[in-house]
Amino acid sequence: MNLIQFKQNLEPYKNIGPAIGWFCTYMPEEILHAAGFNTYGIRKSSGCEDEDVYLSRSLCSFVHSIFGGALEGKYDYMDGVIIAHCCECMRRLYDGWVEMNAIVKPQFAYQFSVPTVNTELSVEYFSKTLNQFKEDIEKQFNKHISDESLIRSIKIYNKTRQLLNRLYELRKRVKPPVSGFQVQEILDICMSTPKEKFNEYFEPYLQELEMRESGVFNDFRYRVLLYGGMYNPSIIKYIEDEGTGGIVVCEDACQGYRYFDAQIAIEADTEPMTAISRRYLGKMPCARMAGTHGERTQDIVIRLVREFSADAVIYFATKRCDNLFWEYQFMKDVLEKENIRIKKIEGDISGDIPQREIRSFIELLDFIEA
Amino acid sequence: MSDQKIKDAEKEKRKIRSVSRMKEIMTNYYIEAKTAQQTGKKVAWITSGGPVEFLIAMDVIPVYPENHGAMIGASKMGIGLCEKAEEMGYSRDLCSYARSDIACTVTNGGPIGGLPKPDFLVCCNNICGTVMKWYEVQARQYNVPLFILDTPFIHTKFSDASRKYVIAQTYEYIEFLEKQTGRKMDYDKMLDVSRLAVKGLRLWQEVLDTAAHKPAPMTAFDAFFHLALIVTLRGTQVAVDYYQQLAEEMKQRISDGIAMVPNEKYRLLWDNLPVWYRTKWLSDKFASHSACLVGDTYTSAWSGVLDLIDENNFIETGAVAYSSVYINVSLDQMFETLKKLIQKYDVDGLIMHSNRSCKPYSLGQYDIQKMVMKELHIPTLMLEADMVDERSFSESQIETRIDAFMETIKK
Repeated sequence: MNLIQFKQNLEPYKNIGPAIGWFCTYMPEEILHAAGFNTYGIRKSSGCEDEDVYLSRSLCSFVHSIFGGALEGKYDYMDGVIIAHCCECMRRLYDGWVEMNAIVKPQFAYQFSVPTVNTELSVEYFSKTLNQFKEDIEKQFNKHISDESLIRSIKIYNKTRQLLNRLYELRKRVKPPVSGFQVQEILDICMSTPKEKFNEYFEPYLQELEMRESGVFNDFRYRVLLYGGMYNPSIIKYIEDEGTGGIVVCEDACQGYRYFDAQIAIEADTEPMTAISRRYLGKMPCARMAGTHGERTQDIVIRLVREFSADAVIYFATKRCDNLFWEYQFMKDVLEKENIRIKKIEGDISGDIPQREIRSFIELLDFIEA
Repeated sequence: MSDQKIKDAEKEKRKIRSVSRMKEIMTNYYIEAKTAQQTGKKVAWITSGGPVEFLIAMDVIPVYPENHGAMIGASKMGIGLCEKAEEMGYSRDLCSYARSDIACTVTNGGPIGGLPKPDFLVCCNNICGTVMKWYEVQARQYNVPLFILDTPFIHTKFSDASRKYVIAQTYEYIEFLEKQTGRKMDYDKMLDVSRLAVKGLRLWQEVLDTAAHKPAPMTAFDAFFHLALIVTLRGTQVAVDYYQQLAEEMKQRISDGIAMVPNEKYRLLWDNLPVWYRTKWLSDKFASHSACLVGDTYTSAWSGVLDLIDENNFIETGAVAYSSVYINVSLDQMFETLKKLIQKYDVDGLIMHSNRSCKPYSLGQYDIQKMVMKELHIPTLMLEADMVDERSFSESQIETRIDAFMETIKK
């Protein structure tokens, strides 16, 4: 099976209801799945980010894109959207959704707070918040979410995470059998199809990839780790373009490792919601996280650079994302001390980004190598 | 008497006498903070929405980088320092308080030659997410511990889970302070400090309330200046005495018929932080239209949660109150607060400062503006600027907009 066949197999299952949309990797999909919903990550540009006149221009292009998509009716088939309050832009997205409720679909929008620290107290608080969320979903849709159904859903999503981790393991090889661009396609499918179906069709494809000995590119010179939040897919395309000489071997990003890096540990003596809370707050941190957990971010990138034998880090800073702009300062200082090359590229999640800057950076690596 | 002399006498009469005392207190405060190393006192940097009372009770000198940012703005030193931060790699899109403060740290620049070195930092994210990153930068810069008090946003109501979460963190905060100072918390002293904090907040609210009188004895621009003590010295006798004096002076002005804006005809309310480097210009501009900014959402934010505090149980009720501040609640709740202010001060219009630096304050303003116009039927004006970075202030554009707005009000 190749990527095209894998995609074709899942095509009939894309974007089917009953469905609930989500935007941020701190939103536990398992709870919605246990209520009988397919959970879809609204991640790609809707293509409508410039049409939104309802939100402030100070917001990032991801939020503009989501809201523009809603105004264009792209999520009409969904039963609701869940907004994890992870940053000011996401909070504003919720406000906009509620304000424009007469026009925007789906009408049901729900928001909850996510702690910014990962401590025993915050895990306890977040599990209570998620319990409230579960009760509100039950009430809104007249459903019952039992512990059994929650555990069943956790197992399905854990399976997805295991498969994606296996996929990323392949990228550590000297000759990775998949490109960064192909991985993005796989993640896109994963986030827009029911997980049962994704797991069913992805596993045999993954097994084939695992058997493959040849690399996806014969002539790449540099292995790149991409760091960011939501990023512009063109960045991977430009890094991997023929002639540029790069391959993306890992993404520490919302559309990457941060989505699937840790499992939910189901133990007999732990409430499922506590286990969910612990996984989501303890997963690879987004730039929004603070405290000792947030401070791990740079160490994680250093570890990933070594595990994936990356030659450099390209840091995609989505314009108007304060968290990513702050994080860059820390990242730059720490990586430079470790002699790891880092290049910041600023841009929106779609549209043009400076290809020349990426090429120049790769050329600089050539120069250093020489 | 010549016309000029009459004018000068009028101007002199309108001056607030307490200003000199305020300047004296703030000077002494900064001297004490700057000489803390010699006197053996600990210094903690704390966010403006943070629970300072615990520091006062532990005899730690609190220092406010945000107050420092305001001073930088008022001293018109924002551009140079913000540019310095940008040279260091900080994006211009980031908060100008943070940028200018970080630049001061490495240059010892700014109006007071930089802030005194902290022994530790306390960050409460009830006002924004930026403070966490800003404080992390400074914690690394000075290699000192940072305590984060994580306050959940209030979307609908303050949940029991949120209440327990912030209260438990408050006890962790006490433990952190005990570790940093090497002393146990003196709970009797904490009770005294709590009572002084509540008393100070009540007096501050009393001062602000005097502007409900027509004509107003003070303006929001005055409130921006006199706010400093409720932020920096809340929980001290000095702050209580000062606001007692200021409240009495305001009441006396009312009795004496002294208005801050001569011939006050129009009353306006201000939303968001001040444009620190243009307070005088804006004050004169509005006064030229016989308009007085009688109230604002910013200076009333501290006392706005007074009803939630039980001074005899400050440790638990204070945590809830601080989580409930104006910009940590949903737009509906913000609008309710704004509505009460509009009614209390009986204003003719609302001026909204869309502050490039402050996302939590500014992002929902367009919705609030619509709510105000729909429900309260008063005109509103949105001014785009920044609290410290003068590059975001376009004088001619703002002047034209204010003139046009005032014409609407006058109709």
